[in-house]
Amino acid sequence: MKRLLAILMVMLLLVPALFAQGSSEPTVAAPAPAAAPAPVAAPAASSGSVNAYTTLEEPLAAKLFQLFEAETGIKVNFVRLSGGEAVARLEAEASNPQASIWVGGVGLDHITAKSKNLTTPYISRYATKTPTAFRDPDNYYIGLYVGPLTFVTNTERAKELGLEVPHSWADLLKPQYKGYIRMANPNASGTSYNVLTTILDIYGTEDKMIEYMKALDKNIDQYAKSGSAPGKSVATGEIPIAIGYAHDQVKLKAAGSPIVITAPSEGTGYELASMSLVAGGKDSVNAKKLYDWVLSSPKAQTTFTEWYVVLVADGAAKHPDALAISDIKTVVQDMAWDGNTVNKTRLLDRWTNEIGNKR
Amino acid sequence: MFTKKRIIQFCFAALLFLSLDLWMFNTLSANFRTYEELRNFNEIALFAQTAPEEETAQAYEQWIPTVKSIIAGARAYYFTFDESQGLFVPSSGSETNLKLWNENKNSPEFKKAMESVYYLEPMKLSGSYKADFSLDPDIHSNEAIASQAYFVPVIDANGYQANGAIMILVPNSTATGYVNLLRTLFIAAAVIFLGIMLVISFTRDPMTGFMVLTLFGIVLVFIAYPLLEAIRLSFIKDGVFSLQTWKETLSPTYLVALWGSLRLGVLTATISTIVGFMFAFLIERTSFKHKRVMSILATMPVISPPFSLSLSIILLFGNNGLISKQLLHLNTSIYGLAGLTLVEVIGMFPIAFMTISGVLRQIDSTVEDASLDLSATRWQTFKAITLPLSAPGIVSAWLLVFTNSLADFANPLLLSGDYRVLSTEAYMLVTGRSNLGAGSALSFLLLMPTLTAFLIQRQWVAKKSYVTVTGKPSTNLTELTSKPVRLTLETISWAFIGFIVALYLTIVAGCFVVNWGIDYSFTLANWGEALSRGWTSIRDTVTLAAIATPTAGLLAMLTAMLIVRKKFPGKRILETLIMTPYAIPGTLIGISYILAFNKPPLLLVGTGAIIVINYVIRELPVGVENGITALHQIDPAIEESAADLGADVPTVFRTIVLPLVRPAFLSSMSYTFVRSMTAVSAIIFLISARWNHLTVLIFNFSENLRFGLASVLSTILIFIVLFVWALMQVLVKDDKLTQKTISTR
Repeated sequence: MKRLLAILMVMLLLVPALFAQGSSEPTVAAPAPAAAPAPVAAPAASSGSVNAYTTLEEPLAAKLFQLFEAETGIKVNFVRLSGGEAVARLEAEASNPQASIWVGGVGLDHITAKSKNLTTPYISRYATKTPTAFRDPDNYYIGLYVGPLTFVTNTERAKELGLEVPHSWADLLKPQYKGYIRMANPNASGTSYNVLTTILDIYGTEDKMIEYMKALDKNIDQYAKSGSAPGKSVATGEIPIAIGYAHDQVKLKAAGSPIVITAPSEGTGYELASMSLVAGGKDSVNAKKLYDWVLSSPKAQTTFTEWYVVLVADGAAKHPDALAISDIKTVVQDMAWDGNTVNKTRLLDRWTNEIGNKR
Repeated sequence: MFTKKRIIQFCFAALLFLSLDLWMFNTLSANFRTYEELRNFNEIALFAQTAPEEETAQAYEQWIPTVKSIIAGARAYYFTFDESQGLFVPSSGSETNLKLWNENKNSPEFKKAMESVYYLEPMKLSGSYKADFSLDPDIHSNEAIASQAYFVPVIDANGYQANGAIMILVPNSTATGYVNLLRTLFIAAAVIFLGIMLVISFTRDPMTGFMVLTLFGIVLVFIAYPLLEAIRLSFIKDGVFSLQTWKETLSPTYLVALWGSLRLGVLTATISTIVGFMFAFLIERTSFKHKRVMSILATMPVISPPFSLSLSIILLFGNNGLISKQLLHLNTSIYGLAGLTLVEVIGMFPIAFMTISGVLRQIDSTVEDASLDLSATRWQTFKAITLPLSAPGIVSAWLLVFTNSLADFANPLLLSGDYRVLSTEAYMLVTGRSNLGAGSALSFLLLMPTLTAFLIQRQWVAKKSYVTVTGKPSTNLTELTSKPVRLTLETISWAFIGFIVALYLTIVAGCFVVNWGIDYSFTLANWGEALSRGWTSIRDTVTLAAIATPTAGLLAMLTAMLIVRKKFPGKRILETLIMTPYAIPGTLIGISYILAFNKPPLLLVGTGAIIVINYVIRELPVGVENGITALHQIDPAIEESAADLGADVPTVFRTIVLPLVRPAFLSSMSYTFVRSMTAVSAIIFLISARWNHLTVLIFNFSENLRFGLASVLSTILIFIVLFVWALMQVLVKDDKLTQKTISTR
């Protein structure tokens, strides 16, 4: 009993440490690489930290923010969240925001955040490098990179089952694919909601879109609950064919899985991974520095391209294996319409009532 | 107890304290208001200094809105002085101000203000005005709020005359936040003081009173308050009260999912209880040889890092699984109810096992001996004595698994296929459609079946007595099984364990291959990378869990003792509230914690404390349940005699209760520790940049198809938990008196 009490006392001593928030943590000695060239324009005296939410892949975010810290001395304390989780968290924290900037995540989620007044406008001096089509007219969010919707096929499984690789949205409806295609539930994933809007753009009316999705539903094995999950199931051979974003899939291919990525011939939709400043964020100056750096630093851009994404800023570098948006036929997307809460709710409700609930 | 004298004493003391409390509050808040006014004036002066040089209407039109960047949420309006009329007339600025001006310009207060400005003196209007900020919304203020109004003169170049005036509105919400905080603190002080007074004045056993009071405090602040915040959210749509969310929630769409959750819960709970009872019986009540090994193996699945069991099931038994396809060439799908039940049973039967073995161990064999002596068969004895005596354990095991299954979210996320359950539907509503309100409404729907089951169980157990530990402990347990029966049980158990071990070996094997499912060549590279990337997360996770574990363990046993042994008003409510967090999906708990604790007076978001509190609160039900079950079997006479010999409640707790409920205490601590180490759904909303969590990293790695790294971290996690369990066995010393040996007849 006494020993237990002694342990408890030690535990109690630890308690004050619990209340330490991110900012008060003594900064871990920065692994400043000796070779880092002095930043050209950044004021040298800047330091401190900034709290960020990110929807970038965790390793990419870790590398990116480490580079930023090495260059500027500003430590980025980040939490990786999916797009939906980020919005939910920003909303729950609205009265006392914990983060100052949100990097990455599909543009539609950023539009949702904007419509809920969770983010704040900022005109970066580097914003003009990004074409107007890829940034918010009210300057709430700015696009970083685009990723087109593509099909991914596991060649081994396809061979075994005697399936051809699909090349168009129409192909997907062929009876040979019955039970062999997987996509995410549009209610759970921005990726799949993007599929709905793409089909809507291609076929013109909402009724025709639902009609197509109904036909496609016959071939769908199951609706996964995350946008990148179907692609991963293809990589491990769990299912032969999936619909998802190209950069998620190129990554799987690079990891050595026997897959082939194809773009639909009728045209396809794309995501615009974006960045926003959080309304009422505590360290907004450092957040703006990070915002500017992500848009302007060549190092940041190189880091992004290592993840096979295609940056939208003019003159940005590109990875040779990445699928450039210009190589693929894309549909004309009206992000503001797609991201409008009323439209989104209507489309999703129709899909849920006429397809999702019928399964 | 309630004598007249005491009541008068109490009222007097309460009156004295309340008036003191009120006086201090008034003084402090008045002081603060003065200070706040001064600060606002300073800020307004600062704003006035930025007035444009050239006095054109256009320059002023651009300058007036910049007030927002100096005083958050403020609005300004510029009036010019009309010489001919000798009046200030509206010129340009915020619509909000103009409307308020038009409504009030003839009031004495406004007239006084204009006069003051005319004489070049700035003035703050006494009293507050309701200003409609929706006319000119921004993020800080966008609805009708009570505001303070200031009038400031714009003085001409010579400094003699007012060229104009600026009217500035500062919303109260920014000005009175501190006063609200102060009020909360003083109310809290009053409540605590009155509570203490109440206990001291009216109870014979103040220690118990204080403990009950503290418990109520904890439960109200950390369970009821966040849940109320979440309930409030479900009744609000677009900022106003609405039943819309609940109408949608109760539509057939979600009732189907509710039905899905219930079916899954009943199946999982029933199978898990049967399997758990089998293991517990084999280990506690037979002369089975490999008890320790089996006991460890059977508790293993509780240490499943989220997703990892489901992932290995998919990799082994999925459409393209190693076993199902490559080995057996099967063509069945593991997605849906069957697969989900399988994986949940594996993950949750240890809960049943631990709960039931705690009870089986406590059963006094003398009763069984008596039965056997009276020439009942072993089966009859088992049926008539052992089974009924372990009934409370069985029922609470079933209930715990049932609730756990309803709240489970990680497994359905990967394995449900087209089968729909409420927890994932709620998650999708929150993250996919960013509808927090509907998400929380759905989660409340989940509470109903659990609470119903819980209340029924309480009613039923309360009617019976299961006392077998009477202070004269016997050290023998009678073997109840014949050899063939025991062998059958052994075989089934080993087969089941073999299956589980296979799943775990998949995780361990994953550490050493390049990429599971794609590239099976051997590598050690995963270890270095995983350790360098995950080190801080491992440290944080262990620290937090290590603080939560003893806290939760002691709190749970204390609570159990109070609930079982003491009579106090509101016991049922306390019990119910303590049980609720167990039944709520973690997503909702996470969100409700942010809603409740991201504002003063309890600003906890971003700290490690909120994570620890969340662990303790979420795992308390299991500990309390274990403790209650164990205590039901102990004759209160032992405690009563200690109390008669002069021991106070803490002494009784420390020297009698804790040693007697040691198995329950240990298992509740083990459980808290492992759940803290493997938590995911609530944690994802509570982690911060400073306090990260291992499971989130594991999840991120498997999201990126880095199964190797995820496996390494999962393996490390499993070994940490095993090590800590061993440590706990040593630290919480075994009481030799309650140990039993098994004898065969």
